[in-house]
Formats: sequence, C-alpha cells, structure tokens
Amino acid sequence: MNVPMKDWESMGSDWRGQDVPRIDVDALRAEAGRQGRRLRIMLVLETLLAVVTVVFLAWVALRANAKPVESWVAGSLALFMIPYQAYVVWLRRREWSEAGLGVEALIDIEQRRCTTTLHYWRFGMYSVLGLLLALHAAMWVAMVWGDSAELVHDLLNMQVGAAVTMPFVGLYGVHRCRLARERCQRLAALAEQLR
Amino acid sequence: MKTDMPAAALAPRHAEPTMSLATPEIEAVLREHGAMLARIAGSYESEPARRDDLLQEISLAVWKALASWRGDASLRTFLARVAHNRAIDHLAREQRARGDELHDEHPDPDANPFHHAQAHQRRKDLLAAVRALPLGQRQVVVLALEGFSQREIGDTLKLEENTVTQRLSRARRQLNDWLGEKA
Repeated sequence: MNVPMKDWESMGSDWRGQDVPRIDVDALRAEAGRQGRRLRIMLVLETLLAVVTVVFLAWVALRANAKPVESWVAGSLALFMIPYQAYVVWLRRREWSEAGLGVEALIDIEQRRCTTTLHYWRFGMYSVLGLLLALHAAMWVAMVWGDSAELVHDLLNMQVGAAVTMPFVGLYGVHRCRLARERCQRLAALAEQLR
Repeated sequence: MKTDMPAAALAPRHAEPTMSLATPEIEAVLREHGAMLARIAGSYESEPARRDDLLQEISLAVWKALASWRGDASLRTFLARVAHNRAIDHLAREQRARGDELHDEHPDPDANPFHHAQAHQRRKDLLAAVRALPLGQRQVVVLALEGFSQREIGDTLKLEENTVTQRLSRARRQLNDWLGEKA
C-alpha cells in the first residue's frame, strides 16, 4: 500500500495548513560557510599543534646533549602523540551523512560514539596520571637504589613541570567526561522513548 | 528515476558527462519541501526561536546530505529521514531529553471554539497533541499527516510496516482521546 492513508487525510489537511517560517537560503549559505571555515581552522590548528609538539619532543629526545631520561620520556611521548592525533581526527569524523540511517540506528551509533568519547577521555586522564606516577616511582627508585643525584634532579624537574600543566588537563578531561556521560544519558532516554 | 522534484530542480550543478543522478539545487528543494521540514521542526520544538534554530540545522543537514541522495528513495522520503535524524541529534544535545515537558500544552477538549478562529484553533490543538505524543509515535504521525503512505513511513524511519501500523493505531487512539470529536 503506497497511497496516503484515508483516515489521516482530514487531520493532514489541518496539519499542512499550519503557518510555517520561511527558510532564509542566504542565511543558510552564510552559516554553512561559517561552519565549514570553523571546522577547517580547528582541524588545521589541531594538526599544527600536534606537529609542533612532536617536533619539539623529537628535538628534546635527539639533541646531542640530551640526558638519557629526557630522551626516553620525550621520545616515548613523541611516538605516543602520532596515533593519539590520528585517533582525535578519527573521533572528529562528525561530518558523515546520516541520510542512510534510520532513527534507531542513528541513536545506536551515537550511543557507541558517545561511549567511545567517554573511554577516550578516561584513558587520557588515567594515562597522564600513570605517567606522573611512573616519573614519581622512577625518582624514588633512583633515590633509593641509584647513585645519580642528577637523574633524581631531572625526574623531579619533570614532575614539577607536569604538576603545573596536568591539573588543567585533568579538569578538562573531567569536564569532557561529564558532557559525554550526560549525552549518553540523553541518548538512552531518547532510545527509551522510541520503543 | 522516480522523483517528486520539478525538472528545473534537478539541473546539475556541473555539467559532467555521467549517467549519475543530478544533485538537486538546495533552493529548489527548500522551495518545494521547506514547509514540510518546518512542520517537522515544529513537531519537536514548540518555542519559536528554538524551532527556527532546529529548522536551520535541518536545512543545513539537508544541504550537506543532498549530494548523497541516490534516488533509491523518493526525495521527499530522503528529506524527511534527514530531518528526523537531525531533530533527534538536536534533542540529544539538549539539557535533557524532552518530550514530556509539552504536556502542559495538551489541547483542552472543552476549549470554547467561539473564542478563536476555528481552523486556527484546530491546527494549534493538533500541533500540541502531536507534540505530546511519545517520540516513536510522534515521528510516524508527523509523516502520516504529511501524506506519507505506511510504506514510505517505514522507508523513512527504517521501521517494519507492522511497527508503523501499530504506532499509528496507538497514536490515533491517543489523538482521538485528546482532540475528541475534532479528530
């Protein structure tokens, strides 16, 4: 049966008789341009920042007078940054067309995406915490069993540097986790309403 | 290729020697289907400013999605699907999942029709009643009111036809209760 349903026709004429706002195509064009520019600028800035960070870390790790601990920490971070940035770009793939999806499939994919975002930020926060604890543990090991005061000093300096920046990263991570959790809850409520 | 677009709207943006379906121009699409998109937006948002925001989001989504229309569904079905999906995404971004908060707008079956222009009041009551339906029913009802067949509703929302029938029947009973004789 591919014809409009008779019993909805009278109500349908009332429905279609509603006053509706006109769509301003020029405003739409301007907004599309703005959104496209914003997205491109964001992607370029993020990629530039990642490239600058990786280059800087590589320079720290490879410079002639680099201490072994600096080479290890900076080198590991530089290697970690590349898949990290690739993952961020992957998470940013928001511009897919949902045209082929049904509403329930859309909610399902959004729920999975939301869960991934939540895991991503949790992973980021715990790995930063892990790095800080590893540096701290390494410092204690060096203090108790090592004989290099310089190594202890370097490890302490790294922790001080991390202690200044990490709280901001942590707070931002908590904020992003909260947003993702709320979105997951809203999607679950919508899925419930659709049943 | 079956389409409900006027021929002028199907003019290709770039003259390419291919057999692929031409992407319709956004202006023509909005001229032809803008009112339907606006009514779909109105079924999700009652407050005019928010409805206009949602309508703009839907129009943008339609614009972006148009290039992916392959003609396997009618353009109207395709647009309705994009609009509903965008509206769902819009709801998911709200502070809380809405849907129940519109109950204060339930039509009053005892409202005195002499105080209002009858047709205007009927449309207002109908819109309020549709907005008050649970989301799953609201979606199928909006499309039924737009004149979609059950099969088209199923295609748009990717639902089995018997699910569409079931939801329409429940919604119809609910609307009859709320709107009384007028339904």
